[in-house]
Amino acid sequence: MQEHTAARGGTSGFRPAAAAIAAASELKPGRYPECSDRDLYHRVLQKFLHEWPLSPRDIDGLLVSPAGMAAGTSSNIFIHEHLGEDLGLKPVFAETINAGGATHGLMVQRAALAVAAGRAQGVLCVAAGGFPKVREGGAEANARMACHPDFDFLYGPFIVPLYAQAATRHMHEFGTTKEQLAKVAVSTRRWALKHPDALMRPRGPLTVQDVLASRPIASPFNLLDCSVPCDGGAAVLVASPELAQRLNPQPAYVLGCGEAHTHANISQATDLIRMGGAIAAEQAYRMAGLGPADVDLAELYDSFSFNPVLNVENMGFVPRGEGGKFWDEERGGPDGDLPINTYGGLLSFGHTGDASGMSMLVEGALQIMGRAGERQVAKANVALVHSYGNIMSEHSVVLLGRQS
Amino acid sequence: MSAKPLPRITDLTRPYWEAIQRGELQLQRCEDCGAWVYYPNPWCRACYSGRLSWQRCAGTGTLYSYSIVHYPPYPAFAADVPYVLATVELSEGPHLMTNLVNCPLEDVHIGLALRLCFEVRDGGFKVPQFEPASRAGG
Repeated sequence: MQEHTAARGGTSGFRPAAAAIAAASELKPGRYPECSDRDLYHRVLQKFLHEWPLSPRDIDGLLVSPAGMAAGTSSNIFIHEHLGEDLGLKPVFAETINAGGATHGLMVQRAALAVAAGRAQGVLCVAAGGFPKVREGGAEANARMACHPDFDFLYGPFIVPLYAQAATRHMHEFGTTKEQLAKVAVSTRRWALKHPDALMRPRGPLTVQDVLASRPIASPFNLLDCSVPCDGGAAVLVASPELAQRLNPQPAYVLGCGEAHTHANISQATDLIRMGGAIAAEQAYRMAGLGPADVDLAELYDSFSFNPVLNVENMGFVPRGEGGKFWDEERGGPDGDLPINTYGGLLSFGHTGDASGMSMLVEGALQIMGRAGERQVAKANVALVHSYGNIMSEHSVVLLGRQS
Repeated sequence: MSAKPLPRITDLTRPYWEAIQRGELQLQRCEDCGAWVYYPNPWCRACYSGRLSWQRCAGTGTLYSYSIVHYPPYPAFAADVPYVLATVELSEGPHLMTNLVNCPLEDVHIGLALRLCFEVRDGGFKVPQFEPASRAGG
């Protein structure tokens, strides 16, 4: 259990609830072959502006993640300037930022700190893009980026067996099984069936046997242990409490946040069991004056079925080595005591690559706002949103809550 | 079918690859604090000393983690599946990504004792690999 010794807001200089996610919207995941990168950003923003009554006066900050980063070929390093112009803004706080899947969590963190410091009142965070298609050279482009191009790359790595290094180690140390991994995919599909936009919803429910019988990709992962690559995008507005309350009767207050960047190459990670997410979570809990027991639901970045096994441990929900047991007991499902990946996860909602870290943020915020529809969790006072970039290289944890 | 990848060699990494071509694994080591330095780097990651020297490693280690790859990610590895993408812990401490070769898949397990071997790629260029230390013929 987490220590509660630090004062609320303790050493951080950040006052909990000094900023909130006031608005959140996500494009339906899928493929958008007719869209240029710019078109896809526009689709995201059209939907966002349709759903939330904003004017240019409400936005004085703009953070954008570059479409194309997941393919390693982004030409969008100035995209914040272009979208700023398209939105009629002259922001006083803006940049294009990238930390892989952690980008969007870090955007909200940067935005919340800026709002808390009085640098901005309303910071729009925008992401669009996709996950490159594995069969069209995506696996190689990804691998050259995800590990050392002149050393690790010589050995035929790609995303799946790189992540598997951590999964195999966990299975070795704690006896975690492929069935337990499969149960994550099954639980997450159950949530996806409640989300109208989830990519895998039309496929219906999944069984452990389905996962175990699916095509082996790289041990211990079969096809259905892997997330579904697609395109998409989302936007959230991080605002001062005053602006947030004007836009939304129940904003998602940022109670705490933390981050950790531990390695570039998974082969050089010094610990495959207690990873950067644990460090980020400790920071976030300390800032919020909360502990794992205070969390009502969690959104945990799940590019593979293994990751939520590791991260229920790293977020402090269960002791080290007991992640498999958590999923055996179906605690993260719609009938469980700690709902996890309530939107269907990257596993069944879809993995939008460039924008992937937005999906869990949008869902965490919608749950806190009470706007999650059929999948709304009954008790949603505190949500933990975890995301990471590259091969669990960098982690973001954001705690969202109802109380200001 | 495209050939398996070769490294881009720079002044920084040339000693590593020259040693490999001679049949030796050499890594940098800090002359001030004794830390091993991998990948090749201009300074020691532990103390920032610039006094690094290349030292021969025993070429032994254990399997730290692995994945058996069934789906070839790109054409250069299509003929190799199933192959083992492995992280080896050298006896000296550093971790290297490699392939575990010359090993029946049912014998692959964490902790397996390994030794250095070589794969010859295009142009006779040697790439370090690891195989079970118990394999006959070593």
